[in-house]
Amino acid sequence: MIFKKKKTAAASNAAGNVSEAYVPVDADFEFIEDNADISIDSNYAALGFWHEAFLRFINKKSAMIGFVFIALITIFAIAGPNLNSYTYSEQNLSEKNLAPRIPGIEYTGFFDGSEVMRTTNGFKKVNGYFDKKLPTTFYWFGSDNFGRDIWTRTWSGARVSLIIAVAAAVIDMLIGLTYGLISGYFGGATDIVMQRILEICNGIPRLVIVTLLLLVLKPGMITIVIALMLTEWMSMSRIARAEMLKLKEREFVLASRTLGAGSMHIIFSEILPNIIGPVITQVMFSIPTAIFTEAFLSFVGLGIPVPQCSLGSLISEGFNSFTTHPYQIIPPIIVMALLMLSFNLVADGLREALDPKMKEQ
Amino acid sequence: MENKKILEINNLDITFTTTAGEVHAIRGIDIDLEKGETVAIVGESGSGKSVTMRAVMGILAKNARVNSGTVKFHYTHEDGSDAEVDILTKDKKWIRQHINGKRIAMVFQDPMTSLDPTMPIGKQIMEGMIKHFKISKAEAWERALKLLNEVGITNAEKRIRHYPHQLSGGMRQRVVIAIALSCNPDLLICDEPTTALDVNIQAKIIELIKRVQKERGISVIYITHDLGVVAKVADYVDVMYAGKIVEKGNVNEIFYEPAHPYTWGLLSAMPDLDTDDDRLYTIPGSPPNLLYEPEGDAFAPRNSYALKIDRLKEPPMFEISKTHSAATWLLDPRAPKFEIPVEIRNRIERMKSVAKLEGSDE
Amino acid sequence: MRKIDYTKEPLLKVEDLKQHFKMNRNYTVKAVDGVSFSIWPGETYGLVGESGSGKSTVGRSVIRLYDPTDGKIIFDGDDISGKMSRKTVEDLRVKMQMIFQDPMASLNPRKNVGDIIGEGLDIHKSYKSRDERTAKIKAILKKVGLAEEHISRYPHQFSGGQRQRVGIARALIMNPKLVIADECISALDVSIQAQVVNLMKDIQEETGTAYLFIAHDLSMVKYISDRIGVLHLGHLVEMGSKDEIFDNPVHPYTRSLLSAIPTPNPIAEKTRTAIPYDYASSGIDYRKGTYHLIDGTHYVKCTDEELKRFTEDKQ
Repeated sequence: MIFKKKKTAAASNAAGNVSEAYVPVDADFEFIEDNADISIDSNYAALGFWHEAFLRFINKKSAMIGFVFIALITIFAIAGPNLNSYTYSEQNLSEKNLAPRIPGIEYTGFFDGSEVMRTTNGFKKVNGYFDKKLPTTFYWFGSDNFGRDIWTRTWSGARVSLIIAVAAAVIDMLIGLTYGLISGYFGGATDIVMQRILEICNGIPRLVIVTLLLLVLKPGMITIVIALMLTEWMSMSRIARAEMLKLKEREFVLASRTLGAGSMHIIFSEILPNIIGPVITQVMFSIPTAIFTEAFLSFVGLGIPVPQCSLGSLISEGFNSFTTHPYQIIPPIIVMALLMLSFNLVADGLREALDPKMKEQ
Repeated sequence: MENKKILEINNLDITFTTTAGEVHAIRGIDIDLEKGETVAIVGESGSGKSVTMRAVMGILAKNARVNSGTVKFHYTHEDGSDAEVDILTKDKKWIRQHINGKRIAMVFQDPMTSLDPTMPIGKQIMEGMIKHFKISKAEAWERALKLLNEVGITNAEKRIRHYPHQLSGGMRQRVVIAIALSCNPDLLICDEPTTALDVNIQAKIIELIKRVQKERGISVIYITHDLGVVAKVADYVDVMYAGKIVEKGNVNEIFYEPAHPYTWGLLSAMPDLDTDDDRLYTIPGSPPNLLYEPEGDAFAPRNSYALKIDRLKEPPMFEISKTHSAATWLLDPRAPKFEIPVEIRNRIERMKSVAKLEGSDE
Repeated sequence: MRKIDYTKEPLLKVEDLKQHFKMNRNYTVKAVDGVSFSIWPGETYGLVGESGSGKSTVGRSVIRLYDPTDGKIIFDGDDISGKMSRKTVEDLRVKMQMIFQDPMASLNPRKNVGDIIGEGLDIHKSYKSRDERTAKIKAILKKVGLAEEHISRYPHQFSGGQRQRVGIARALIMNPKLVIADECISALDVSIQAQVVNLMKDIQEETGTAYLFIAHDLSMVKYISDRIGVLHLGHLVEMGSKDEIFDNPVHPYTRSLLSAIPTPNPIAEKTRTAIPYDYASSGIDYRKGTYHLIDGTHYVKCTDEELKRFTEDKQ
């Protein structure tokens, strides 16, 4: 081939230097008789779409930071509760409200199990572990007012929140996508009817739906997933419909129609692969919304039943003793904030990676 | 004032950094333009013709890197003193204040995207004048009306209040030209000004640009791939291929004595109304992707007249006449004898005979 | 050379086709307003006009991407203008194919070339085994001047000209009798346009397929077409063989159009001026016109007085 890849630039540069000094000889002035490679050109082989998207994604720092945090939190959500001997529901009332104490670090003065208490006659530093004579007991994040380990509860809460959020987002995607694609593709009367239904659904406040649902179903993970599902699919369906309206008059769809393709073939095998980018992005954006909604429901008492916990219920519990034992509310809040921020960063990175035109030229 | 150089581009070399790698888009270009002249830069998409003009306007994209070269622009200050700047060394703000719109104006391909849809056209024409000349609104309004008349918009008093979407495609392009002319530029760059338009409107717009150029004595650079347009407007032609100029000359030399195989292909690819050959002579293959640096002559893989030397060394510009030169080894004295393709020969004969006929009419 | 037998039944017969689009209650766009023409097997019919003349709409109505408002379309003996039987639809989708304007937009960016070209085969189940499908695709790739290895590439990995070759391959793999080429070269570079037109000619020579070549570039239309129809504002104002149209244009619109074609000939070009034409001020009413025979197959749509005026103007 005449065109060398840039990768071998060193080699071709060397050759280039040679040809710079190259003095043409008479024998060079002959026609190249062999023209076989004229009509085939391979110089347009570019990277595949996913490969290029991947490169763009890992080049975006904020998205990578988000991705690392999500990975870390996920690993801790899976492994964290098993790292010490406590379980999330085990109560030990004699060891309640102990401040964080971590072996090794305790000698530095941080995480040594002491906390500052405000009493009527000023501030007082207390250390529950010494007071209760528990030299070998360590609650890494402290214990709550039932004597449960906050480390274990935070990570199992994160686990519950993640499962609910991801499940809700995926189910939203399936429902919203199908609804939006069909509504957009068929248009006309179908579209009008489907869009009016959507508007009516959208008009009912989420809290009303959830409260009504809880009258019928037992509170628990499934109920929350259903509640989220019933309210969150609409934004996905709007995106799917908008993408469909944009794509359905494109020439490749017309080409499919002139070849005699049926509606389902066009919707699911021609158009769907083309909107996968915005769909994934929307799913990533809807996960933090779901986490937050779940936390909100738990906070107002409509969420996960005790003794199970989620980030929301932990924050709610911690909130009660926030003034006396602030360390109880900090871990779930940090985890939740990090999760929401990270998912937003990743979603943002994905949007740019999957739709490079958005980026400023 | 004749023979006064207005723009000199010397050895311009630009690289773009993309996710896929470095694209060496411009590989050493020289263009000269004198006052009142028209130069057409001809080439296919991706040949680098638009990038070159963006460099002249100082509006290169952020991922562009200028490796070498100068873009010297000569102009006259308000007080009559001459000045010369190298645009590449100036920052964007300076260029915006002193060059863009005021001394070099650009007409883009699609009038709809270069007009602001939320503003009446009159206001868009006045904007530049108020900014650059510091004149009053009323005066700018008068000048805008005059300009609209100049670019052939009838009923200008009414049209001046219209929004772009209320005008037809041809009208919009006239408005774009009016905006470009509003600050009395010395140089007008037209980037495919007629490709988005219908044939009969195309002809009118080109006639308009020609007329304006003659009346105002400004220089024009056309960027186009349409040789029909080139034939009508250009004094000089630069043929670009893969970021290089492969043939340059005055318009008659390029059309009647083309020397580069790529120019042959371009000429014959567009059938004239008298073509009755069964097949068009074409250039095989497609233009190179400059992500991969070509070795030797970039055109060699598509050239059925390629010599062995083409794959080893890039051809220099061979001078054919004072104004005409081409970068092909076929012009080297050591090159073997060759015949230019019969389709081209017939075509040139035919053009010459038509041209003679037309000439004798005058 | 190809010979077209004009005594045979035409392959496509369009009679008084009307295609109106209702924008709202009191505004209807009459994109095509009473167009009639025929295409014989193996010939190329060029349809020219400016943007907004309705030329693309004609193509899309004929291939039934739109439901025609009125008129008759007979294709290969079947009436395809109204509601079609299942068999007629099946026949139409195999025997009539289309090549689109924008080679990038007409190829699904997420599908590889093999699947794009093979889509028609998949839909109509016209192969017995995977091997047969692959063999067919490879054969057609070769025919349009691409390499077998291209089968697993994606559209963005091709240049514009190569993409249009893929579009042509997709249309040809069904062995169509009629191919509608809707501005199929106008988005390509000049040197690539010639390649594609040459390819289309070669294929016609080999397979005898007919083309409806829709374009605004008159010199290309003249080069490729046997007969030409000039469309303006939804009316076919003049039609005839290419020599009849180009040597003896009668309608003022056709004459204006011909005079505007730029030619790559600087000396001739610098002295040429285009004949202006403005429908609104010309006093011609397309709706009143009927087809008048000039000679041979050359017709002009006008009234008697208009025809008289046209011929006087010419002298």
